[in-house]
Amino acid sequence: MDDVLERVTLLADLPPEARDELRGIARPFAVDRGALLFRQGDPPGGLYVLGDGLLEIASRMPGDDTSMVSRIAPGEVVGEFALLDNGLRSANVRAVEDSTGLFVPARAFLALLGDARPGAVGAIDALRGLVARRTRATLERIVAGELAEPSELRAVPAAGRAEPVDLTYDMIRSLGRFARLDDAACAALCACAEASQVERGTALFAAGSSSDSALFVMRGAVRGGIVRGTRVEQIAIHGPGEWAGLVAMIDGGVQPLAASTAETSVLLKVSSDIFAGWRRAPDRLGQAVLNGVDRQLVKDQRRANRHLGRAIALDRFNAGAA
Amino acid sequence: MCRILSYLGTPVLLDHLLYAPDSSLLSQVINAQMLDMLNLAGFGMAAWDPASHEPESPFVYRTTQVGLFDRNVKLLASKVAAHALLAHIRGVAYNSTVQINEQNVHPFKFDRVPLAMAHNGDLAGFREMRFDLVPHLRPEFARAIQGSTDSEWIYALTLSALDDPYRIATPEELLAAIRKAIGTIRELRAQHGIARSSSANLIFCDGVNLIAVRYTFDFGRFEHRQLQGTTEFLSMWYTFGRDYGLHDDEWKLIGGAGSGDSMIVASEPLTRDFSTWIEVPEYSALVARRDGTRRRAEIHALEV
Repeated sequence: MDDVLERVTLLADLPPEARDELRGIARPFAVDRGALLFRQGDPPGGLYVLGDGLLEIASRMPGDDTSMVSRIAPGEVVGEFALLDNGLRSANVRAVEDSTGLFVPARAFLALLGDARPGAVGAIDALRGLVARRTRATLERIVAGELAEPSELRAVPAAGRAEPVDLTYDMIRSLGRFARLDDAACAALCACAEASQVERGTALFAAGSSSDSALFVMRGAVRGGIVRGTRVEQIAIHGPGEWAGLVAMIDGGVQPLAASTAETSVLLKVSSDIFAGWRRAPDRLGQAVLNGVDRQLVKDQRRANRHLGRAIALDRFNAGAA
Repeated sequence: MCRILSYLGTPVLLDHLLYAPDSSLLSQVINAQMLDMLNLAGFGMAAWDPASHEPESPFVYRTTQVGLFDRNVKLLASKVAAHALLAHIRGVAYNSTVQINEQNVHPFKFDRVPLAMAHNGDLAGFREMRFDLVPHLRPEFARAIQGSTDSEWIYALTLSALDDPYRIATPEELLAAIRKAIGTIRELRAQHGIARSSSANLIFCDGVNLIAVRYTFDFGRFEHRQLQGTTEFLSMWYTFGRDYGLHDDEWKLIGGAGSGDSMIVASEPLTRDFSTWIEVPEYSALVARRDGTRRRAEIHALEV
């Protein structure tokens, strides 16, 4: 059982002592073929690392239908949201074969993370990458599926006006996550980001563009969407405290979605170098940013899954009506 | 802030929607999942019962009593089976400036008009701009406004944008009227310099069609000096299927989406387990319409 962590590709870059820390809090699990490992809507307990067997992730949908999401093979992990966010389980996970592996409890893991232990810091960053890649894969399914009805598509945004604005400490602290930032941390944020006010309906970046920066919403709202010919399929609305372009910033790929302002917004542009610094060695500001990033990564994946689930469910519902 | 519930489909005993689920509408009076406030300022519903006299007209009940303690609602809910329902519990700020009276209880439904509407949200600065809405209202609807809520004005504005508000409108006609009402409010807010985030989550139902609107004016534009909280309570959720009831110890619609004909839309799921519920996207309307012998559901972008 102890070699399970050695076989996890996701954690391959962790030094041996960091893996030892994780091994110290992990405990074995076993689930029989056909049995549920956890159920959609259950409280989050922790992360499962599969050593042997095969697991299947399925999501419940309206009408009590289910939709198969993916399969988890040995060396892969499932239940990673539990270490990034305290939301309920987002899918059913069932054993297709008798399965065993290691369970990493969220509480013990978060205690290690709170102490900035290398095992937890390295693992959490690896999980960020995993969640970002899974969100990208879901978005690619949405793009390929073309299930959106014409009625839900919107006009493509145009070029619009953007003006620099002075960022104030009050503005920063009005966001709950930054409410307790001291003056030094606020000053650091002002120094590392360009703030601008962008009018409603302005295109910010295109799908397929490079991930050299991300936009933090201070005020207003940014729409993330898929361009369908001359129209846009809305996938997400990012309000204050959220990032536009986060998936690409984390996984280093191109932007999976186009972004535009849904309302006149105050946005902070943060370069990928600054972001990488926060991930490598988070200071007080970086920690506050990353706490929000972890929650948003989970939220973005939930949004993408719900969008896909909604499209599939409506398609089935309306197929029955035809 | 308030909580809303609506249903369209095979007739269901109201008790099974209003009381039975573990997060039923009336349990949300004191224990909503997505709103950390009590909803004490009244309960109202319009219920279309196909077995009743003039089934196209809903049975309407509105009270300023705390819904959870209203024994009349409980007794009625155990007798009435409706194929369409629009129900609302009203939540208001905890201070003495708020007017608690029957005229302010949702859903709103003017005489001889088939359409009813309930609202979750609050329009910032509404008192300053409301009389500028009068030119956009039909005189009979301007006169019919009896309460002091922004919601009743939104309702009157939407009805006034319909060519014939006294008959069942098509979903397209309703959507056009809703877009026009939202556009008018947006224009007047701009004229008055109102740019604070204001939610207009609305559900319209006439017993035949149901339209659920999730729309926020100036989304995310809060005061800089004001600490921003969660906006989860401003979401809108729906689920659909064929047979609503207690299945495997869970209140849910079963039978698969493909054979489904019933839909529940609410400001938050009626069960602690959200698994079979989906969010209505922001800046969008969910339309449930009659399509031959079944129903059809669509998402429409609201670009206003």
